[in-house]
Amino acid sequence: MKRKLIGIAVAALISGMPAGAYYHFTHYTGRATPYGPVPEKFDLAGLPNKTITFFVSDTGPAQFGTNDSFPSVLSQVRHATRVWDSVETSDLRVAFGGLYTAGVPQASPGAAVVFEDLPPGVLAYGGPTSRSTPVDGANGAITPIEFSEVHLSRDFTQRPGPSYTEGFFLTVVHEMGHALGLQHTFTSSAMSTAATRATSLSRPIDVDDIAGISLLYPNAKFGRRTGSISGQVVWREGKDRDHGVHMASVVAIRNGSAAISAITNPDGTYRIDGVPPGQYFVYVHALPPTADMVSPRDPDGNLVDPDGAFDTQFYPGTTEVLKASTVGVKAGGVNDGVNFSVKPRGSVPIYGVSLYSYFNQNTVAVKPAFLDITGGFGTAVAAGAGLGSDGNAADGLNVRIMGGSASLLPNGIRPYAASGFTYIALDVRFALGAGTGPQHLIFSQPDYVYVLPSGLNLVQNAPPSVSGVSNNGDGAVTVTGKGFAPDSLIYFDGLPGTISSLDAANGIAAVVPPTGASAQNATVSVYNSDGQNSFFLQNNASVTYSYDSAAAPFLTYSPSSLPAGSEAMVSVTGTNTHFAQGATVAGFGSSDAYVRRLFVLDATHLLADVAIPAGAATTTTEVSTVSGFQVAAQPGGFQILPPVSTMPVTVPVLINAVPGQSGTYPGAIMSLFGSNMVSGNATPIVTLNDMSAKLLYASPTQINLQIPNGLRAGPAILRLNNGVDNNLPVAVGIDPSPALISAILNSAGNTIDSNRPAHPGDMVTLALNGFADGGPVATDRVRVNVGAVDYAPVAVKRADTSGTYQVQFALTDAVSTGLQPVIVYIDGRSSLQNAINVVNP
Amino acid sequence: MRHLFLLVAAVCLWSGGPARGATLQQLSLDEMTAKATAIVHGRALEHYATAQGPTIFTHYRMQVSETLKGTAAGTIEVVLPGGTVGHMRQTFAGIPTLTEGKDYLLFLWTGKGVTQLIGFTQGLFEVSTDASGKTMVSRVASGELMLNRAGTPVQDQPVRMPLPLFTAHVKSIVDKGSK
Repeated sequence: MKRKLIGIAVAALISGMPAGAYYHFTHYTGRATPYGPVPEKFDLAGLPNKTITFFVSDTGPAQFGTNDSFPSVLSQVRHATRVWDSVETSDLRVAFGGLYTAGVPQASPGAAVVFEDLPPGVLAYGGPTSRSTPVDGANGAITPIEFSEVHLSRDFTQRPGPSYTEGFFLTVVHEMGHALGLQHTFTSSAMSTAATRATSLSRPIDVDDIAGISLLYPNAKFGRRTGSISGQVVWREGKDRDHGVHMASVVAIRNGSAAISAITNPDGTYRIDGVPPGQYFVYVHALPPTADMVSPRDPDGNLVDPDGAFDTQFYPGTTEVLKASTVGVKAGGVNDGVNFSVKPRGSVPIYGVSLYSYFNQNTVAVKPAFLDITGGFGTAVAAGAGLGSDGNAADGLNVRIMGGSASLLPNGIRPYAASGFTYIALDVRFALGAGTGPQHLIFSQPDYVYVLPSGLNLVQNAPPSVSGVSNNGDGAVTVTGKGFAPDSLIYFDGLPGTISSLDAANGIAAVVPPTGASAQNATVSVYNSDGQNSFFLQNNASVTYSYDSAAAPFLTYSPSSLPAGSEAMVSVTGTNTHFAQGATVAGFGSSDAYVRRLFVLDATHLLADVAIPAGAATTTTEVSTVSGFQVAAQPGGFQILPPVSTMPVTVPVLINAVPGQSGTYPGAIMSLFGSNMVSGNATPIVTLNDMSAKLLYASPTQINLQIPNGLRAGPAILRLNNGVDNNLPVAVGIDPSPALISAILNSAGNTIDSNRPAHPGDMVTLALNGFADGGPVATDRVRVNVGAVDYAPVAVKRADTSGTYQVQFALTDAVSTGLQPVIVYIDGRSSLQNAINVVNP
Repeated sequence: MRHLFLLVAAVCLWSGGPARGATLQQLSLDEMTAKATAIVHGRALEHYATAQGPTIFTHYRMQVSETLKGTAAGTIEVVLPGGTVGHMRQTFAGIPTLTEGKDYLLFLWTGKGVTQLIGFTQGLFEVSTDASGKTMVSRVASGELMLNRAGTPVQDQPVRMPLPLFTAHVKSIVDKGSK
């Protein structure tokens, strides 16, 4: 195939550095190594706060099954955005924007979930809309995604509905992955193909998904704690001998953990990034016929299809895992030279294998399989292409479970036929001391090996179940059942309740349900961290909780229109609403109206900082709030107007101007950015909650100011007059005063000062007031900075009942001598600065 | 133990249940025939794409040579999601494309004035001549997630059979359904 793209010298292939390869939608800008792969992705430089917001069409589904509802659908979409937003090594933020009216013009990149009448046999589809060729971006070539869509059927009586199930939630997670730029992978992760995926609500994305999204939108954290494996896959024989294999899937796998993979470049090079440190088996396999990957495009826009089939191979050059060697991965390191030379074959004989286990007297089939090791034995059932036919197993079929926790019993492979399909029952025994978690299976024939990562989960408890829900009369309910665990989550449709007490042994939990929609019947389900949930046992007999009927919520807001190129606070007042911080989302129905920050003042009042980009489409949009399941919406209630070029604009993000300091607190020196903030030679005026701020510097685009002393923590309204015009007021958050380093002590408990200076190697204790809320503080939340050198504390403890904390750390040789500034950070927020005197011994 | 696993009517939780680029419900040939508003044998002519809001649709004109169900005749237009308009390309994995000049047997469904393929890849059969000169109907197994009526993920099966046999079978289902 690569001959279609280029003719490259073998030497060049071998010496070529492997380009990063993954499963994105890729365009090649070059015709030779390294090809210049440019993935389709959102251009973060064009996104407000690097955030892509998903809106949901307000038409909603047309048909629901019993106890299903549109608010439940919305809750799952919102939950799915949080999953992708939670990837801390990705710079892309993902938000839920509430409702929008389909067809509204939007100039900014965005994403939407829409509902439509799909042809019979089609339940959902999704994907990105991108520029058809790469363009120059701020950080090099980019193929920008302009808009992404997830299309769902309007009929939620059909799968993947109903919306309150784990299956629907995982569907949305998967489709969002496509929308963000990910293709299919073969590691049983969220982005894996249909038959093999093994994620759950408890673990909706896995290391492979995290690596995939992080490679597309990497931030500084990516790669710090993980390493890489790289190499090349070439043909061992045939007309393409020694040429690279294009689009082979290379997988790193280890016992008890999820797999992680990459796809080869046209020259066969690959690099698996984001691999947690450890020892891995590495294998390469051909894409199955059901891969459904969109091939990369060459510089002319033509598809560059995958190469043909070949034998699966473990490193180094064996088809037997028992003869394979492991490959070590260290944080920050690259294990290069993990090469393969593969033998071509006519087709992939085994693929798309699913493994099921059965619950509730075998009336419920669960995939991936879950087996309880406490019984010593269990049975799972495999189905997939090439395992057998007519009720018989494929010739020479053998099955092995990697690691030592489980193995097949003698004669433990039992094929059978049912409803025209051939299934393979696998009788499994568990080793003494067997570990729990995902297990990888190897299906083999004499001439082929197929690996199914994470096909089987070993657990040591039965699934949970819910037997009843009763109202406590105080806003909480009591949920009873079996199989609860201390870390169980209790869901009402697609949202977890707030558990105030949980007696796992007796199956009793006191839970505050999320805010409900009027007369909603929410299905109550329990999810345990081992991946099991109550639907395993009661799929068709779920317990529901009925919310009371309530008056319809209604919104009023001001202003109801904003010009393009503006930043403004919109005050939203609700009638019959239940706004709550963290539970409420407000949206303005367009990717052109980005909600920077939301301040919930009370159950009926919130402030939303809204940013309208200069190029926004002038149109009317929908305003909506979603609080738990309660949805309030006003289609067409908001207007985006043409820009006003002279209007002063203030971005409601205050940056602490003192190096090393963070937080916006009374007395702090802050920078405010915007446009037209000064008119001519006029002196601007800035107020916060009508208190004047002292200005230290002013230009049209930046003002440095001091936060007025006496301003209380919480939202404050910032107003600016540039000498001629007023800005549109914005809301900013005022933080409590930072912690104070009240004492710096040596190991003897004496104050470190000029008479008793510290030395490199000394253990130092910092006493802090106003540091935390009185509870325990984990050391990994805290760092100490002395003279620009960071230190991880060895201990953080509460010193006394007055709320003083002590942070202990050891000075190293890296510290400079003299009077050095010292700052303590908790969750990134700084203390006030102090100083420590350091001398050499 | 074996009998326990004959319970294929068991409700599948699809707990790892992935969607694919597209999520499909498996339909038997009988079901596709019954649900189709038209079943035609025809040749793909030219195609063009349009943007309807943020969604791009590719419109394929088909020259119909035989109608097995419905009244479609002459040329018809079949619409599939995805395609290229101007500088924008929309991609949905698992949605087929038709190749100009190729013969197909299509199971079609018309809703709101738009004619689409039933089950995307499920409703698309290629018509070709094999080495022995026989005209064959074939469809590769769909790679998309398929669920049966119980919601259980199932593996689609490839289809390959002589065109006369296939059309006769489809016509018999159509005739049975019309009686």
